[in-house]
Amino acid sequence: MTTPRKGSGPVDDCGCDDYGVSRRSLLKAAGLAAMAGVTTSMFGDVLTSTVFGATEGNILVVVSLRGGADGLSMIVPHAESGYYSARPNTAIARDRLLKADSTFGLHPAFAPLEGMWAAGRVAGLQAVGLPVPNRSHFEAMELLEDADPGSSARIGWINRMIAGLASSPDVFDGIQIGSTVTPTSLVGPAPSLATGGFDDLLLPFTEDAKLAPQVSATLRSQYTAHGGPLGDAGINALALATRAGDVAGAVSAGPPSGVTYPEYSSLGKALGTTAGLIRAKVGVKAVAVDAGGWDHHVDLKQRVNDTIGDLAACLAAFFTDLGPEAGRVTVVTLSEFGRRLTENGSRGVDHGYGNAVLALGAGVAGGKYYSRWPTLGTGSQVDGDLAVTTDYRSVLMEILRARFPSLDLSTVFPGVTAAPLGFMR
Amino acid sequence: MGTTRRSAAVTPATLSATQQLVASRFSFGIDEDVVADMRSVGGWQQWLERQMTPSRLVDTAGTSVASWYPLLADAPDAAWGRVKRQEKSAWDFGYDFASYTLARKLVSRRQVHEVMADFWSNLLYIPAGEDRSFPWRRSFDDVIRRHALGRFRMMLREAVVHPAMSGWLNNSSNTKRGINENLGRELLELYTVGRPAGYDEADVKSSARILTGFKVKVFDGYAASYEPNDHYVGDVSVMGFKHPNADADGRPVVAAYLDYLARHPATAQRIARRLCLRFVSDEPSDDIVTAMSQAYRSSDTDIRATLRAMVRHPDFVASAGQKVRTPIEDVVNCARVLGMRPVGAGDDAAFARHVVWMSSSVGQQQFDWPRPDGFPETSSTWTSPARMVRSWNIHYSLAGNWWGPKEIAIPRRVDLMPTTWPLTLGQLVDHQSRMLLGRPATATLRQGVAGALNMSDSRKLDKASDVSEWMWTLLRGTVLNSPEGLLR
Repeated sequence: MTTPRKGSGPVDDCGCDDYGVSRRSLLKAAGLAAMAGVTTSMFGDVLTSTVFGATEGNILVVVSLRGGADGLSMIVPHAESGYYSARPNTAIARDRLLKADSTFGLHPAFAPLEGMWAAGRVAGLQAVGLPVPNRSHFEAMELLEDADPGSSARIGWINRMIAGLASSPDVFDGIQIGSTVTPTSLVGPAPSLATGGFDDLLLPFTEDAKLAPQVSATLRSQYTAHGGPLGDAGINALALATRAGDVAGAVSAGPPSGVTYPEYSSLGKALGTTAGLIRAKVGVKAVAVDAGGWDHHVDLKQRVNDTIGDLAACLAAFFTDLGPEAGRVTVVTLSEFGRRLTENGSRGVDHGYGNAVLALGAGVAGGKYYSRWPTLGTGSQVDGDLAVTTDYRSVLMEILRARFPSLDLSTVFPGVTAAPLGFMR
Repeated sequence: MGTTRRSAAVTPATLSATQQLVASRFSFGIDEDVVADMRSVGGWQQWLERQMTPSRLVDTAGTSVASWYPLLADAPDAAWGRVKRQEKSAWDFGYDFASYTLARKLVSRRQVHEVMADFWSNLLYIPAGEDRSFPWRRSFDDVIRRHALGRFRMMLREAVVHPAMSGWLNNSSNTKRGINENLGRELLELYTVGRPAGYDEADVKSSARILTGFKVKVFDGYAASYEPNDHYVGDVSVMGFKHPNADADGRPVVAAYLDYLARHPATAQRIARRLCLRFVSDEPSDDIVTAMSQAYRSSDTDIRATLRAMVRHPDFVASAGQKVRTPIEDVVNCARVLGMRPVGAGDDAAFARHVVWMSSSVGQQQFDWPRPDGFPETSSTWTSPARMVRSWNIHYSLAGNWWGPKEIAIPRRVDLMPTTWPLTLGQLVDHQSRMLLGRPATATLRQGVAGALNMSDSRKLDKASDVSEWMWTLLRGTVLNSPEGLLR
């Protein structure tokens, strides 16, 4: 039995910023990785119906910047005097920006992605968001991930995507890697899984060829007799554990040599596991990963430098890690809202509206910025914030149309007409 | 005085179905103390009433827990000093605090108080070991505990302006010179009226302005003070609360504002509904929510009156079987019914520390939820196949004491078994079902355990020593792994 490892120092970001996977738990309990918990949701007996699915298909990785990322720090509108006057302490000077054009430039902490940008594999999108402002973290995340305001059913868009890609989706089609609580985007009738890894989903006594079937039969009889959601969960757990054994064996333990994720980064760990899963070719189609720590109410300058730096380094390592598989993988970043244009009393920024999105990897016509830029003029602002000129669902539809052409987008995002920005090939 | 332990009988007596339900919902596991207390006071109403005045219950074990964690006794400047000198980290304080919290759940006789402290800590949620609040976290916990069975209004008054909250949600840098909306917004959304109440951005700004002045020297000794010079002066208006707010000392306005929010009908609805999610079902009826919110309002936000309205409502008794234990509740319950008790926390391998990682391994770590909205209260969140697998594994680990913890009190096997032999295996399964699940074994469970052991349930066992350690572990783990073992 491993005993808990002690922490080394208070170097973590402000916990209030951690709206996704806790960096703290990873940072300080790195030795306990094998104990990371998991959750799944799945219905019926679909688990038993598939072995490894389409192993060479395209994959979407959704990186959620939890807490509300400051898109104005990510893709800086350096030509706007309004940006500099609203942020006397926290604006990024024009001459520090990377890959600037006449309107926008990247925060200098994006340096690890400069190479991919130059190679046309990263696109920057600006003024993207929910169709209506919502400055509540929890409501905005729910709306963003449900993405079907016309329906009261709580079904997430990734769940609808998975359901649209196979008549009988497999539990490993749509996965959250990192946090153990299923995000709204994955909730719904298609099976899904939220896990830290795959080697900790095995049944008790798996190694004992005689005992394991006895214990398994006992569980089956009891959960069958019990019925209801708990009974179903038990029956599905037996099937999940069988499949998890296969996957755990196929996913390699760590990244290949030469690939380095930032130390103590929960995003890096999750992306490393994701890359392993993709390289194992077990048929995953969509992966949700949390990148927490974006709720910068205080000290924006330092904190956003750190969070962007972590994001950029992790994404760069991820694409290196993927190697030849990178040709199948598209990454998109999403966040529940942008921040206010004007900095607050703590040299931070409160909850705002319009936001930046990054699209990376397969199919992306990168190396440039895409935006129906509303400007920061007072007449264009919404309640003092950057306006939204591109519905985030339109961004996702543009990606799905390019990478999953068989998908009926009207079932994934009902009632939305895409207004493409042209960032996908 | 020679009382016979309950487990000495071949068929140990169990509580009535309603007693079992009430004790199961309002404790972290029905151990011998809960059964004895329930019996001695004569019924579940009396038990609940007695438990709802925790100061009247002698709780030697629960009270002793604090002494196991000397770090948590540090004054804020002393705690900061240790971190600054790199003797300890904020994480160390958080880890001790999480372990302390679980240890209290495990050993306290004041179980209803523990359950309610857990509930309110998840509403007014602050993670453990968070950098801006850690020196004040234990003090904040004391506030929650002091009011956990009192008036919500009084809890809100102390909790919202507490230095831990000021640090966590940045009120410490919210001043008239520069508003920080973080706490002002979450106060409305999470702690009181909720989003459906329909406040707007102007309300949020006013809410934040009212809260200006509560300073904490974060990352510098963490001294807390009220600074009239930082307080915004001038008219404020939030959802019908209006105040000229003319004085530099805004604390009376804050108290009036928090009272207003606590008494607001939308807050009553929100608190009632959240209590239902914890104690009744994921989808409570409007009827029970209304009954509870009426009791809450007519009693001026009295928590006990609200709980009484809940347990008296027919939906409560009808909700048996509808709540699934969270991973933390699961691990603590198993330890309690198995008779495993921490007796200290000095060692890294102390049982009181292992339980932190055991619940983490099932998918929930005490005070490790990263967001201010607290862990989900819905059972559906925790009813997933992967969680099942993890619980099944940890149940065997606990039944067999396989983590080999230090600083644990654990009964001898012979002291958990019947004194009358021979028995059939089926009888022993029934015995353990009564002790661990509080109910007789079903035929499915008897045969299931027998199947796991590859024996017949009519297999005769002549004496206690015929039951091997391995067999005993497999039997108890399998009983805990039944669906009933996951329900509370």
